[in-house]
Amino acid sequence: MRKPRSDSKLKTLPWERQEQLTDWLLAGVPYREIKERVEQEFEITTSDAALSDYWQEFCGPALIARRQKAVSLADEIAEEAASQPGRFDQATLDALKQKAFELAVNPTSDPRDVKGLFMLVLKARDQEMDRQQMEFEREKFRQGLKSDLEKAIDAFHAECMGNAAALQAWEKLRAAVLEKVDEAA
Amino acid sequence: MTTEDRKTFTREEILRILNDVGSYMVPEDTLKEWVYKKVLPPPTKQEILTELAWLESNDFVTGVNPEMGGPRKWRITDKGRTCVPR
Repeated sequence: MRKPRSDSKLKTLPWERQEQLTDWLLAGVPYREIKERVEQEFEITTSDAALSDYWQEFCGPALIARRQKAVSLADEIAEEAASQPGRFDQATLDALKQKAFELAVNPTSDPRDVKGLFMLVLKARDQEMDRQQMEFEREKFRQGLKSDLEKAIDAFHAECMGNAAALQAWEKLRAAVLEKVDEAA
Repeated sequence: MTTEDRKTFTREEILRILNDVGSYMVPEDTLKEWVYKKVLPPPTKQEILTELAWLESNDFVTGVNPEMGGPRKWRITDKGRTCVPR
């Protein structure tokens, strides 16, 4: 039986091993060291020519795929940030997008940094939602408070009818109470 | 590969990389590393910088110096996009 060529052995490795080999090659590990690792970890022998052949076929497309992934990730973060109207101005959005891209393409950056940036954007969105909810609750409280007081003032007004001095006092009281309600709200 | 072919190949690879990432700017160190990995035998950093300078002087790429310092970042121009090899 013919012995398989060493380059075809690399090309038919399971995908997780190919991924590992591609990582080593893209990280710039010398061929000499990669040959040792392949022999120890994958239990096959290989040659410089086979690694070079593998590089041409797999590492170029892997580099392109990684670039595309970085672009998609940065676009995703920018879209999330842009979906919060008024939260980020255009300059901040552009800077955020660029930072996300740089983190994604930098092999030394911690994947948690990209995640952290994404979480920051999400947190900003949550804060905006909380702010809107608080504003809504406050308005509801203000309206409720006003309507209760207005009912009391109207009742008092009915009792003052026919008494000019009492009506004048009622007008003053109404203005003062409404002013206080607006201040409190 | 002749010296002239090598220069052309390096320039084309720079344009291809910058075109791939759309409107993003690529930090100079990352760009050098990517070009280094694609051109065989790998060009020196100085060779890559020379070709970047040529591309910039011919308006195919733009180099930006970050306001807060740090390495330059590179972006392809509209003119550069029209020259990206298929």
